[in-house]
Amino acid sequence: MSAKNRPAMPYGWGRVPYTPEDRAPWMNLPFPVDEYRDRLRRLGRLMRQDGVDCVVVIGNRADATNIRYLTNFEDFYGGDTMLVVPADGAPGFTTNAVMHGEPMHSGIQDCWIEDVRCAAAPRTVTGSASPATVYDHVEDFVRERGCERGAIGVVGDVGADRVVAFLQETFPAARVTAAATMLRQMRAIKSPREIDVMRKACRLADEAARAAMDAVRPGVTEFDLAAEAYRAMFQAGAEHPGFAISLCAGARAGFKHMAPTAYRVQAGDMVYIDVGGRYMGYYSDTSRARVCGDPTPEQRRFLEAQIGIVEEVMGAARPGAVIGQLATIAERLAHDAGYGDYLYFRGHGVGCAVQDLPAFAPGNPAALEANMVFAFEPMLVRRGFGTACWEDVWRVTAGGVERLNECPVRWW
Amino acid sequence: MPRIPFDLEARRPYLVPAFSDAEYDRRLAAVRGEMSREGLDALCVFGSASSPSAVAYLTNFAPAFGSAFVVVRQDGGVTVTTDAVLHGEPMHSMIWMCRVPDVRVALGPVYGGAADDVARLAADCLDPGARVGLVGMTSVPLHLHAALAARLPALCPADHVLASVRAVKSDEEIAKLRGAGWVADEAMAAAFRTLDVGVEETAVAAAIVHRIHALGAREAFATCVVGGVQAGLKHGVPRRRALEDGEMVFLDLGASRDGYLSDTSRCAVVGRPRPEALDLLRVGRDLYEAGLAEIRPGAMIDDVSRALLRVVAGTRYEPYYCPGGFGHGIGTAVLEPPGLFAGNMTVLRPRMAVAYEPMVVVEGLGTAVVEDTLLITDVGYERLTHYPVVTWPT
Repeated sequence: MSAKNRPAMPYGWGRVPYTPEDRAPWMNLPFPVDEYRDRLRRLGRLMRQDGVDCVVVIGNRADATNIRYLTNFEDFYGGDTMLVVPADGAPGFTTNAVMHGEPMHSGIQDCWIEDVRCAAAPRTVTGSASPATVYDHVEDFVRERGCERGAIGVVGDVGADRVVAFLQETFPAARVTAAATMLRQMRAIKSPREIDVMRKACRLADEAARAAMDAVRPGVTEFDLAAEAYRAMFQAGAEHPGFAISLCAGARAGFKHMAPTAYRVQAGDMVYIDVGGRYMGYYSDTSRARVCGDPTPEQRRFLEAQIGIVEEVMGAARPGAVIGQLATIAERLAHDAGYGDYLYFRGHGVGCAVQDLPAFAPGNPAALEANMVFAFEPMLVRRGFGTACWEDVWRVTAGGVERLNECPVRWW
Repeated sequence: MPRIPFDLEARRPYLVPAFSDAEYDRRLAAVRGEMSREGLDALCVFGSASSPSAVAYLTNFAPAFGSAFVVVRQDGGVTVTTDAVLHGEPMHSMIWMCRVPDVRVALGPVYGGAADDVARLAADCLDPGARVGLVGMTSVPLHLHAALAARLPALCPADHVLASVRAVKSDEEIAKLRGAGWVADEAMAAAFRTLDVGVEETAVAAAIVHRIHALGAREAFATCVVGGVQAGLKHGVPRRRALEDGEMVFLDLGASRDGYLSDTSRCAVVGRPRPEALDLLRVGRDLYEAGLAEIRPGAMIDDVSRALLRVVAGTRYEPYYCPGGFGHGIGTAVLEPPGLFAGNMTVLRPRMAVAYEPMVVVEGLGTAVVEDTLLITDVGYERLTHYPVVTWPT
């Protein structure tokens, strides 16, 4: 397939065909295609509300999550990907995240979109042939869908300015605007199928946290504990770590996010882990803390106080609960326990990204809605002493919240 | 505002620099040399979780979330600004890695700041009339670029200024690359100890990732363990699927040691190999050796490509050989210039590091590729990954 009569790929490239029929036997989707069609219908409704005729969703190394959410394409290469979605009609997909010129060796078989037109990765092609770029394909998609005089929204942040400029220059009669946040609200509310996949993603974090906490003993290094966590997580089927693991012990545990080192855990140290994995494009995020050996009365009181905060706040969480008001519950409990100075009230939506809406922060006037899924981590972080943070992923139900993790909370 | 102090004295007990002071001084001096050649008063270097390496190169601080700028002034001062502050605490957010004393923190919108504060802080430490080069043009978010440009009218793109300094690897950097290669070798050995009929792909991946982390490194990229007919499509994620007798398996892994990366692949058969699988693996080895014989400083990448093409020309493997990519530069990103592909007239030079991976990929059968990370030396090359090339019974 060529754009603007340019060759699609030079000699030796794209020899393995990737039409929908070629991709179908290999396609590994977390859901039936209906789930994705439903997302496009919801996006279409938002577009009509906003008076947008067509959106161009961009994905790149800085943020590939909207593309995975809508197409299931995972970019292993760090290229540029764009999905053109008209308010009415079929979407078009293009990417240059193509290793050695073969889309079928680069994960395109997991993309369900029918109209896929790949481009060569930049700086990997020389010679007189000037193969079509992702921009050429986007131009064709917009024209073929009759949107060149309409309102075009660009969904994405990093790189969006270039796409906006390109579209405005190419289609002077169009009204091109940045629509960076169009998908954020939509992604915050999960479907039943997504919640099933999220449960499986949470199992990965459960296994990782349990393995690391079980392995704590005097003399073990932070590196060893991180390695145990990741072995368990990959054995359970993780696609990839969700984020860089935090694992710290002793005085380092008093700063919460510390990368593992060769430090050897000593009896009496507090040990903290923050870990998550990706499963079928969905993330998990879990933290646990414990003491190596028997905790002192003060260590136990500190750890139990944080658990009490999670239980009390989650007891009050339900559709309509205002996040800022939940924060005041946590602040009161921490203050009453004498730990007010150590409290950081934090949490975040989780799904196709580790950090999504809603944002848990003091003063946030946003309210919870049914089927939001979030990691809740109101933490007590005490310099030189340790971190108390039971963090799990929760779903907002019709009348409260449901915990999606299963890993034990106490190792004492 | 932050409750926990994060000045250099507070950071020092936790700060483990990846390189010597002399190495960081050399980098800054080289950057200032390039700046004066370009007539720049200052350089503003952007970094984020998806592209942390430029900031880490100058400061030892690799942003794991949020955004950061390093401002290098020609008059001698260096300032770091960042909004990589979870729940408002830089010391809970990796700032203890930063060796630059002058760190200025923006809180970001969740904690009552503005989204572009991190850029405003960077601009504030410069004279508005200064000629400032921006490094990170393709990764800086739109709103941060706008905030800088509004305050610094003479802002200009300057990715090439830092790139030219980073292109030549120093001895200390080469030592890191060797370390990353060693970790990859160890992980590959762990994979081959695990590999067997009945073992799940994810269990092999678990052994790899366990070894990488136990040795104090991280994955350079998503570890690939692909068996069965799926191996005939090369890349994929490991699945909870047991390997079957006679299947081909493709393994691709790499380690990151202080941000310096390795990349190595091997292919194998579990159980009793079929003749066509052994034949494919032998072609992979022949390709690897034929191209390697051409790799030396002064050789063009296309010379190597021609040697590879001669191996498959006229054979039944010709349609399955991938001339469009037999490797890539590697350093602090998995994919750096130069790309190794047919027609690339770039000349190999000493101190370049490349992941070299000539491959034959046969849909329905499997992949044959031997990939090693190589350092171009003054006289030839040095293998930075060393796992045995022949992984099958001979």
